[in-house]
This record gives sequence, C-alpha cells and structure tokens, in this order.
Amino acid sequence: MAPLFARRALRSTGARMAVGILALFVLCAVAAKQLAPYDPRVQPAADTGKNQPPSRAHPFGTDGASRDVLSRLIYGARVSLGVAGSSVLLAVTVGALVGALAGFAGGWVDAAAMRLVDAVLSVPRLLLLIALVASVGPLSIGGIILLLGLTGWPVTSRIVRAEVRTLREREYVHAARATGVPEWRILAAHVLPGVIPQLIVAATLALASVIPTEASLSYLGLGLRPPTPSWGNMILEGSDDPRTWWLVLFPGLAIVATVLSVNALGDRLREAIDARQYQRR
Amino acid sequence: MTGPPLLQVQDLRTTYVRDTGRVHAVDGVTFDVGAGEIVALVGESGCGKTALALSLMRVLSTNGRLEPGSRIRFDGLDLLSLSERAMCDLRGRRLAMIFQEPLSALNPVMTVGAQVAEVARLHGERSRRVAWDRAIAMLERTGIAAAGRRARQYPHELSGGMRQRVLIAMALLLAPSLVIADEPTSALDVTVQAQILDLLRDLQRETGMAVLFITHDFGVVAELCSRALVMREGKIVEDAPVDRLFRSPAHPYTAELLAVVPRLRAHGPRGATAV
Amino acid sequence: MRRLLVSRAAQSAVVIALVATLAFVLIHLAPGDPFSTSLDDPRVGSEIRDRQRALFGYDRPLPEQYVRWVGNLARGELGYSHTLGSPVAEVLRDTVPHTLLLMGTALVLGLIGGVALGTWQASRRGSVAEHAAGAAILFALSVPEFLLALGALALFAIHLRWLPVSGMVDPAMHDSMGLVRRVADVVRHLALPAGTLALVTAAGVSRYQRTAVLAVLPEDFLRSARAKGARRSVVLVRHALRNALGPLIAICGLLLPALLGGAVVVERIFAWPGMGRMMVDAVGGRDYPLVLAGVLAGSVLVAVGGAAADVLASLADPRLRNRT
Repeated sequence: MAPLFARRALRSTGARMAVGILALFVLCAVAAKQLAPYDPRVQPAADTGKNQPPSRAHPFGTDGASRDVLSRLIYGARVSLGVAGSSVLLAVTVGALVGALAGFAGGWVDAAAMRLVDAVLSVPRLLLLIALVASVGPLSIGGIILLLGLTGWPVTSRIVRAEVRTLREREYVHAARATGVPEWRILAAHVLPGVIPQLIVAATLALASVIPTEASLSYLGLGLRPPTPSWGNMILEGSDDPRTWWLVLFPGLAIVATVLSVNALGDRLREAIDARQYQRR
Repeated sequence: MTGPPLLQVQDLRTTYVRDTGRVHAVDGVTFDVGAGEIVALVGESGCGKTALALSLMRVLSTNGRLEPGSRIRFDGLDLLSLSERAMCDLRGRRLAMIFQEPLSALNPVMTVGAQVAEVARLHGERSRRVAWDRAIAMLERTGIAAAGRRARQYPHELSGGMRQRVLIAMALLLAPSLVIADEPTSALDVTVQAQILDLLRDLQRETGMAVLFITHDFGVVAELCSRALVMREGKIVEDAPVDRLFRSPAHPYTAELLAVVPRLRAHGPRGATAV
Repeated sequence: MRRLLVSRAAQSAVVIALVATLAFVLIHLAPGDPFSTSLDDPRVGSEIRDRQRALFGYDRPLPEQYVRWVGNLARGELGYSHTLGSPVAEVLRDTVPHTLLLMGTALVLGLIGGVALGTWQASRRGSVAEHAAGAAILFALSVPEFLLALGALALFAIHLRWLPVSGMVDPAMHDSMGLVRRVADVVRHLALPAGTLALVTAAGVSRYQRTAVLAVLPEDFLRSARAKGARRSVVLVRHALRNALGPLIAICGLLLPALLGGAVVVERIFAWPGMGRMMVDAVGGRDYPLVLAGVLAGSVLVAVGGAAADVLASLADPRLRNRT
C-alpha cells in the first residue's frame, strides 16, 4: 500500500524534481569529503584572500576566514541534514509512540497525552529552545538533535492518534478483537501498518519545520557553533556586511531549496493519500 | 392567449463534465410556459429536471455547460446571449427560483430576514430600512407568525416549513413573472407539504406569476398545475394538459409512471406518491 | 457559550502552569548558575559569590526555589534581572508591548492578504494564475523568516534606502517630532519587520483559506444567492467568505506560536526592542529569571490568544453561538 501511494505521488514533475534536489543534497552530505574542493575548516592557500566574491577557483566565493564557501556548503549539508534527519527520526518515533498509545488506550491516558501535546505546542518552539539553550549552554550536535527531536513530536502524535482512532474502529479490527486477538497484536498487526502513509507525511511536515528552526537557532548564535559549518551559522557569519552577499545567498538558497522540496513532496504525498482514501469510499 | 409565451425553450442541451466523461443531463428540450400559467415538470429523480431549472436560471455549477444551439427566450429577451451582469439583474427580479432543500439553500450565518431583504438590496433598494420592512411584510404574507421576530433568527432556529416559507418569500419578494419551484415540498412533512402548496397557489392567484413546478409527485400535479411536461433521461416525452394526461397518457412512459403511483401509495408512508 | 469559555480558560491555565513548571525545571536542572560564569573570575572571592547567590536565592534547594517562584509569580513579581539591573516585570512591561505591536500588525496584514489571496485562488481554481500563486505561496512558506528578513533588509533598507535599517524609532529625531510624524516614524520602522512576518502569515493563511472556501463553494446557499441576482463577487464575499470565517479565526490561534517564534528572529535582525530580542540577549548572560519570564509571557500570549480565537470562532457561527 505504502509504495503504491508513494509512486502516485511521484508521478508529478514537481515531485520528481524535489526528490532530485534532496538526493543531490544527501549525496553532498554523504560524500562531502570526496566532493568538496577544499577543506572547510582551514583556508585553502595563502594567495586567496578573505571575502572574495565568486570566481573560477571559488565558485561560491570565500568567507571572512578565507575558507571556500562551496566546500563549507557541502560539509554544511552533512551537518544541517544530519541534524534535521536525526531529530526528525527521533521526533517521529516519539510522536508515533505517544500518538499510538493515546489513540489506542483512550480514556485518561489519551487526555493526559493530549494535554501534554497542547502544552508543548503552545510554547513557541524557538522560545522553548532558547530557554533550553539558556539552561544547558552552548549545544553539541547531539544536544541539538535531542532538543529538536524532543520539541518536534507533538504534531506527529496528533496525526498518528487521529489515524489510530479511525483505524481501530474499522470492521476488520473489530473482527480481530471478536476472535480474541490480544490488543497489542491488533495494534502491531492491524493498526500500525495502516498508519505508515500518514507517518511519512508527518515526517515531511516535521522535516520542513525542523530545518528552518535549526537554521534560525544557529543564526541566532544559539545553535551549532562555528567552526562546524551549518547552513544557519554560515549565514550568521556572513550577514553582517551586505557587500559579502554570497556568504548569505548560497547557504540561503540551499536551505530554501531543501525546505521547498520537502514541502512540495509532502503536498504530493498528502494528495496521493487523499486520492486513495477517496477511491476506497 | 395573445402574443408569444413568457418562456420559450428550444432545443436546450446541458452537459456535465464528470470524471467518467460527459453526461447529457438535458438533451434537446423544447417547451413553452405562458404568462400566469402553472406548468408541472415531472419525472424520476436524475432525469434532468433540476439541471433544466438551473440552465434556465443560468446558475449551473462550474462543470455544467449549455451547448451551442440551445435557445431560451424569456419575456422577449434571448437569455443565452445576455451578459452575466444583465442576467444578474434579471435573476431574483423577473425570474426567481425556489429550491428543494430549505436548510441548505439558506445561508447558515445570516438571519433569514437579512437574506430576504438582500434580494431587494441587490436590485436597487438603497435603504436598509425599507428593504428590511419589505422583507418582513413578505414573510408575513407567506404566513410566518411574528415575522418581525422570526426575521432576526437564523435558519437553524426555524422549522422546515418555516424555512421553506422564507425561501418562497425570497423568491417572490420582487413579484417575478416566472418562478421555478424545484420540488419545494419534497423535504417537508406531509401536513406541511399541503400548507406550502396552498400558500403557493394563493400567492400565484394574487400575483399572476407563471410557475414551472418541478415535482415527482402526481398528486401535486393534479392539484396545482394546468399542464404537465414529462421528462425522461434528459428529454421531454410528453407535453399535455393535466386532465388529458391523467385520462389518456400519450407516451408509454407516462402511463408507466401513472401506473406506479397507486402501487407505491400502498407501501411506506415516506415518499407516498413518489414516482 | 459560557461552558466553552470556562473550559477553554481552564485548559489555558493548565497549559500555562505546565509550561511554567517545565521551563523552571529545565532551566534549574542545568549545571551551573548565573554566577558561575560572571563571577568565576578567580579574583572574586568565594564569599562574595556565595553572598550573591544567597541574595538571589540560588543557594536554596530547587523545590524551595520553585515554590518561592510560584508565590512571587502569583504576586506579579517575576524576579530581578541581573544583566539589565532591573526587575523582570519592568523589562517585560517595556518590551512586550513592542512585540505585541509587531505581531498584531503582522497578523492583521497577514490575515487580510491571506484571506484575499486564498479566496481568489479558490474562485480561480485550476487556472494557470492560481497554480502560479500556489507555487509562490509554497516558496514563501519554505523560506525561513530570518532569510526573508535579511533579504528585505538588504533590498529595501540598504540597496534602495526606502526604509530604516533597524530600531523602532529614529534615535536622533524622534523626540523632537510632532505626534503625527512620530507615528509615521514608528510605521516606517515597523514596515520591514512586520512586513516580513505578514508575508509568512499571509502564505500560511491563504492555504487554509483556499481549502475553506473550496469547501464552501459547492454549498446550495451560494447557488440560491446567485439565483437572487447576486453577482459573483457578492456571492464570494458576502456568502462564501462569511461562512469560512469561523475556521479562519480558529486558525489564527494556531498560527500564534509560529508567529511568535518568527518575531523573535525578526526582532533580532531589525533590532526591534521587543521581548524576543530581550530573551536572546538574556540567554548570553544566563539571566534565568528573564528567560523564564520570556517563555512564560510567550506561552501566556499563545494560550490566551488561542483560547480567544476559539471563543471568537464559535461566536462567528450562529449555530454554535446559541449552544450553552
């Protein structure tokens, strides 16, 4: 079922382009060492100055420490996408567990879980992250992943809960219960597989929100610290002087291209699921 | 009758674009309605009666289309060549419609008085006050008690019969010369149905308007109408005075419909005389 | 209606209490305290450090600090900001209205723009222009606020020099201006930060609005409005829009957290003297009471705004209004 709806979503040109762009960035992240023309941490050579505009040697220019922007962008993909991907994995896992539990248990468990969701959702995520950074101090990569993951689950849990509550009222689930299948088996065998398409959509939503959040946090100087290059802190370093536009433009484009691709893909997936449910009726 | 009829429909074709292809909802229909005449349009559900009504008003939904070659003359005007603006001016003033489902045909977030008064406001009444007073007077004429109070209520606060009276008030406020009534009683209880039919007949006698009465109920046809058009699969298969229709139906389909009536009557209470 | 009001108020109170506790625990569980950084200078004697800690209560056990903090909170005392050297309540009083001005302007502009855009899209569904608008909206939603803000800053303030770069007023001239020019001065400073947030809000709102109007369009009462002689624009505005209003107001409540998050970033970029910028600055100084108060003020804002939106949304629908 899942591959079928994914295939339908991929029928549009926009969705294919989105997948292409994301694949390119993932390739950058995985093969950063092989792809990057220079070392992102040290200045490439004595003769290249700092803050050089794009040239043949440095297609995206150099930054204030004479480092190659393209190389930093490629390594930045590893950091930014790695952080985003891991935290989304965490967020979606927690969200799915909480949502499934709430949706399946019902009663006070459900009520408590949903009030917790309300509470987390009603704190602006960036504010909460700022508070957390204030308490823990400058964050490591692991810390950022943990924080973004632990603040990102409520939306997923709502989606999963709604889907579980729908699915558990389906005829075949009632039938299974009537024949004495234990509850945990019903959950594992009949309900959770049906949730997977929604879970994928939830993951695209989470990803589309976590990338800008991480970038904003880094931009505020509260996220990943230099010299580790992330797209967000690259922009922070370059945004002081409007004359060095390439320091903002290229990482900015990378962020926008990624988020736009994820959003477009998410939209198509949602449409595909809607179409499927429409057909089933 | 002297002069041309009020409404002349010639070879009207309406198609809907559906996922499954084009549907010919109205498939070459020709008929007249004279001034002051009450004509029934009878047929099974899905035969194209409502599509015909919406075509006459030119309020088809976006997937509906009037085919070229169709002609509608109303009161000397060629409706299909009129601009949308001119058509808007005509709707509600000279040509009005009463809808089938009174609850869904009324805007749930506007008071019913405002919705009746809106007709006057749309057609040039500048004063809110005057429009409102006219609306209340019209609501009173349709038999709504304490119309002043009712006018300030929302559709969900009224009974089904009262909502239908509101729709009638809306349609008749500006004394149109033709009213298309699309099964105005089928969503109502039997006793209320009778009241609404009486009301429509009284108002027709007062104003002398022509009515195209869409129904699938031969009881209503016999009671109210002088002539009937029998529609089947988008085509009009019989056009005859009502007494002759009942006495000796010319088309086998009409005979079939008439034959079904008593048999259904013996069954359940709901849709008692339905075709 | 009263029941909705009460239940929504109770829900908000629970959420605020939860958030307050959560924020307090998180911040105080962290290693170190404000004075471990600022007073770590070896020349500062440990007695001074301890005296400072005792003065601010950081030497007490956590539960005691919490109880005291809640008690103070109830009396409206939010503690003392050691980085700014003034009571936190005063800092909030100075900064929160600025943030409200920024967010309020953005919300109003964003709503108007988003409603207009979404309604137009719904009425032109399937056209080339509508597809193009949809793509543009998706694009706008994919640009983080700080990038939009930086772009707007570079274009309108630096390149074109139409608008001021930062701040809320002209520091040199503002005090010598008459009332009208003062207002104009603030509006000029407000344009870029509020415009940035309004753009993002409009993009989000238009997506909801498009769906909401598309859901209303097939309704019978729109056809009866047309049958009355209402023109397309009248049908759309007076009938369709009014019916899409309730859900739209509820959406505003849901937009608030993101809007506040955006405000934090935008305030920072345009040096807008609001609570977002105040909080970011407070993090650097590990100014716990200030950060905590910021989080609390933010969630109060979101909770109250969300509850208000829910109540207003049900007021907009007469079918819900009369239910008690």
